[in-house]
Amino acid sequence: MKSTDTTQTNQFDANGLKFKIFNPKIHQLPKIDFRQTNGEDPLSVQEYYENCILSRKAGSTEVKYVIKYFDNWIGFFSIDLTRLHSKNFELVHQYEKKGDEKRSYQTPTWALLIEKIGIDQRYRCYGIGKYIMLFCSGLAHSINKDKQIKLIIFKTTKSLAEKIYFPKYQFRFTNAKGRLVWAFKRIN
Amino acid sequence: MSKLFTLHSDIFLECDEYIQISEYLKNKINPIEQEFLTEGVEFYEKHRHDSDESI
Repeated sequence: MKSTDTTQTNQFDANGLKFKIFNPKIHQLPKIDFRQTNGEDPLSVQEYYENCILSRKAGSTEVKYVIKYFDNWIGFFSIDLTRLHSKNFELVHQYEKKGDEKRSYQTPTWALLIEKIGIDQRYRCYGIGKYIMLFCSGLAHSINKDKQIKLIIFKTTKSLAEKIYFPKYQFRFTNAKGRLVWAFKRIN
Repeated sequence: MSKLFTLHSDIFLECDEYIQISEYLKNKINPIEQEFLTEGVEFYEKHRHDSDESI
């Protein structure tokens, strides 16, 4: 598939993928539908794309990658270095006292945060999510010479975590009462 | 840590979420995770210069 007029493919050639750091001065992307097939946007991916990429506004601190498949723009993701803390240090401290292992959780945990992942509706089911995860894992590894970064983490729906990210890519996810969970995986 | 990131963010997790992640980190990387990471390193090396090419 190397066509610009049709995007529905039967075969997918991963060699056609390119991951480019988004430059609002040179990259002009088309309007793409990133919503779920039912029209919902629970992770605000469409909103982010329109406000932060399509509008070509600069300003946010995260690094945005845009993805090309041969001649077509088909997706994006944004990443950031982050420090994970607990909202309630006191409860963590109590837990720590009960545990066998004396380990301080006061020190924040460094992680590579994938803030948003958007894949064109027409290009789902080709494993592009896996390539994004592979790219982020490799990137995290390459910038982690001092081994400070422990995790890759991102927020997703519980449904996606259960159906895709855990069974296919071994991303664990937090137990949450709501619809959204944190998916995470160690990188060293 | 990296020239790619000039700043960093902070995330404040619910206590139980934080503990789950901390517990998970007590274990060392397992062979399946290592395999994925190795594949990721190779994939990233192949694509790290994609941005250098023309649009």
